Amino acid sequence: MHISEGILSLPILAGGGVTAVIGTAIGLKRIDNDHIMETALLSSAFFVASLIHIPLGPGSVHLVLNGLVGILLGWASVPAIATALFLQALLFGFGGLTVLGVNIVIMAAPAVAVSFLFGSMVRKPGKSQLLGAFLAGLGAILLSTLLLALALVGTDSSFLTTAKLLLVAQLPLMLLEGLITLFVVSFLAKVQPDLLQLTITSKS
Amino acid sequence: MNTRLSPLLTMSFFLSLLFLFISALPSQAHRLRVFAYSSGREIVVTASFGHNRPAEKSKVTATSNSGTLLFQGRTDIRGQLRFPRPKLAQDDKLVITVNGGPGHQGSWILTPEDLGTRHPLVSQEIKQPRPLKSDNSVKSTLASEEQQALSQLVSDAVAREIEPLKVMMVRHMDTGPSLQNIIGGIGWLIGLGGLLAAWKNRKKK
Repeated sequence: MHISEGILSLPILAGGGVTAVIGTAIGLKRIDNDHIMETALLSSAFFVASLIHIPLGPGSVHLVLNGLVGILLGWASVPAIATALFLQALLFGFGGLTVLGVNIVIMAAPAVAVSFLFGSMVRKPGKSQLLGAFLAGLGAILLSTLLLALALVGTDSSFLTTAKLLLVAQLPLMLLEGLITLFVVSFLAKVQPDLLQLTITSKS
Repeated sequence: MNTRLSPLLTMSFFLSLLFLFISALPSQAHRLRVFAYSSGREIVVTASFGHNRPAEKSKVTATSNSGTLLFQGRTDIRGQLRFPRPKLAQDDKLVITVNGGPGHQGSWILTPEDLGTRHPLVSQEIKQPRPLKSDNSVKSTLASEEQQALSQLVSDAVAREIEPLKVMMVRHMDTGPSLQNIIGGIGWLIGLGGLLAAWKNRKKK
């Protein structure tokens, strides 16, 4: 999911940077004082999860968890993901600092989107909660892949074919993220259902 | 609404985090690692996504410092490519760029020191052959050619001998994120959270 340095054109880098700054500012404003530590913990989970390979068929996929972060934090997921990506770029060399804005948009925008799309489903106990969690995990990766493809296509039209292939290649990850989000939400619903209401309390 | 984390959840969270970074240690998914070195009359390029994950059939370009394309090719299934050393000016660098698929790109720069083009002993040896006692020009030319051939032979033999060492160094450098970096990153995130909380609380007061 991380785009490397030296691939994207300047307008896309600038556009991504500006969007990321605006999103982060909105997210920081929306974080409730009482939920800052939860945000930091979820940011840590995102930071570490991106390092994990899960063998799948001939290759392997790595977790992203932006759907889970999104439904739990809403707008606050933008600064959470942004900080984790910044540290990943700094400590591990993933992506890069010039491309950081675009990478934030690719991973955080879908997180916010799924919180709006499936947040109400996840907050209601029952079967719809599990379905909402699965769709949030799956949908976040789908949207991230579309944004990634869009960034690459916008830079060079020859990437179009590769971008289509990318969608097919990410299908296993979409299902996997959906399942992981479903399990985490069902676990939280049993032990700490209040955490699923974070996005509502943050708005008030 | 009370949203304080229960001890059970906090413990589960940290245990999961511990499991996550232990399983994360041998992997690196996002960074295309490129290494290149000069071996005799060849340039060897190795590209990988971390431990045992070679960047297969990735496009490799070699350009001069000014951007002139000198070579283009693809890595094999081991993520490796060998190509003849291109001719470069004495102070020119060789920039190797590998494109490992959508969004993945890495590069490596070989400096004149890496390429041995600015090695004082080598340049002196090749450029200024020792004067011969005899004045016979034919003999002198032959000696010079012999000297160059000998120099090339020695260079090839040394390259063959030290190639395993270079491969070993590449493998050693091809490690994923260290435990210190992973723990450090988590520490930074928690610390930044604490700082933000302190700052927001001060603003409230």
